Amino acid sequence: MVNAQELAVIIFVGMLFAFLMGIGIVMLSKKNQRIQDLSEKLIKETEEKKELEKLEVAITTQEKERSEIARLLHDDVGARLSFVLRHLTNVEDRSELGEADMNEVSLTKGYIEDSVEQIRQITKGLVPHYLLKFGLVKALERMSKQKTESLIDSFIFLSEIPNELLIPDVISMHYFYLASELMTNLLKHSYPTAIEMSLILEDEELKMNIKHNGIALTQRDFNVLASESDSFGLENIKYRLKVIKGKLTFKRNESCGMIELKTKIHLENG
Amino acid sequence: MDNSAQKIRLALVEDLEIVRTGIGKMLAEIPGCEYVFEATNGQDFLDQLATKPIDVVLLDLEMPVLNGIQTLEILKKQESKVKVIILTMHKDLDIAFELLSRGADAYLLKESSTREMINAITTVFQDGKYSNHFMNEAVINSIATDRKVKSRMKHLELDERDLKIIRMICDGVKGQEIADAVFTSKKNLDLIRTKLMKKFNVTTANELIRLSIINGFYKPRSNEEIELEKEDILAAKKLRQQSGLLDIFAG
Repeated sequence: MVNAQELAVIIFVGMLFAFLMGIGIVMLSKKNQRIQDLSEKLIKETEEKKELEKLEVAITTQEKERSEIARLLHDDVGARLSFVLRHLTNVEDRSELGEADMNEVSLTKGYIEDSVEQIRQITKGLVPHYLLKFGLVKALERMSKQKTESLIDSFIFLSEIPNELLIPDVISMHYFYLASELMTNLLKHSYPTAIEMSLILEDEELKMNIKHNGIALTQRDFNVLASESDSFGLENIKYRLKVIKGKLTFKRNESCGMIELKTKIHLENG
Repeated sequence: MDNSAQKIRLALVEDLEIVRTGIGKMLAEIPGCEYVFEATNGQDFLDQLATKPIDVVLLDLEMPVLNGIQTLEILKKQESKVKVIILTMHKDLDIAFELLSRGADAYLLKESSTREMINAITTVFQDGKYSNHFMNEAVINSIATDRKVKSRMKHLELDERDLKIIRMICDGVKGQEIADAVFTSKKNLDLIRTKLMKKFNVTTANELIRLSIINGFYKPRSNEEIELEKEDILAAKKLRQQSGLLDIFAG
């Protein structure tokens, strides 16, 4: 027979055991939850990384193809047509032909000249020749000056980056298109009369700062735009930012608006 | 030196065979010239140049191994006396401007006639800069002025912001307007102005204006010209505002 005291001990031990079991189960379930959260986070990160890699490959391949098409059109087909044009000019110069033949030559020259011009225009849209030839700093300066020319009172370009510095092609290309898109939109929607663009390199981080006196966006404004809008321009900005792991910051103070674009770069040589 | 009796020694650097053969044939037939060699890229050219001296090279821009810009850079580093005529498809004044600033002597389009190529070759050989209808004399002169301005800016340690301030002072723009345009305070602008005076080694604004004109930093303009420019800018701004109904970042 179990007496009352023994029964109390048994009940107490039973309860303690049940309590410890409960704690154990809770702890185990929490641990499981943590493991599950970590796994999910890891899966998400891996998926994001894979998506980014896919995006990078897609954009880079697309740009390579565009460059190759542009190169073939411009340097091969265009050069061949220029060569034909030169020959026709020589035929014209020799003046050995009758009037009818001369007219024919002149007409043919006109058609070829139009084709050469057409090729120039097409390739201009396909690949930024100036960027590929003279590098990012010079290309940014030219692009900004061309865009702002006769549109605003004052454009100042300041760069502390030596022109001869070799910035990797992929970064240069995306950075250039991003800056171009930002300048277009700034001029189109903020109506500034003065812009100052400055470029600096700090701890292998390329920073472009655009100060302007137009209607300025804050970071919040931009975030709202970025989440709500599905415009091609903004999507383009988001994709390119992702690929170069860049950061775009919008600030506004009493006197001006500021747009900062920065990205880490690994210099090819210094 | 009298160059009239001396034959001009030529080389052509072009990767596209059809163009190389065609232009090469034309170069070989120019009286008073000797077509010494042709190369398929910049490196091939530099290798051959080591044993075959020439006076003028017609240099393509887009080439494998070593392109035209890199080849020009190497020639300039070596202080080579070879005159360089860029032969390209790029009808782009900025590219031409940049290459002439980097030491090229002429910039020709590939569709240029034989007559034009001969003119360019003889002109650059006689130590001149050749300009064609695409790059007229005014452009060549502006390149020279730009080079002078850049070298003076470097000498006086001026940047683009300083240059803008100087030009606005010369235009008679008020201090606050200048400060707004260069994103600084009036107080800071006064400080910059004092530093500029020091750099120019002058004590009055009039002296600063005079030296700015002499250095090519400022080209005097009439009030009408300044006003006209302001009106154009205002009109452009208005136009953008009217068409501003488009979505932001519409691409």
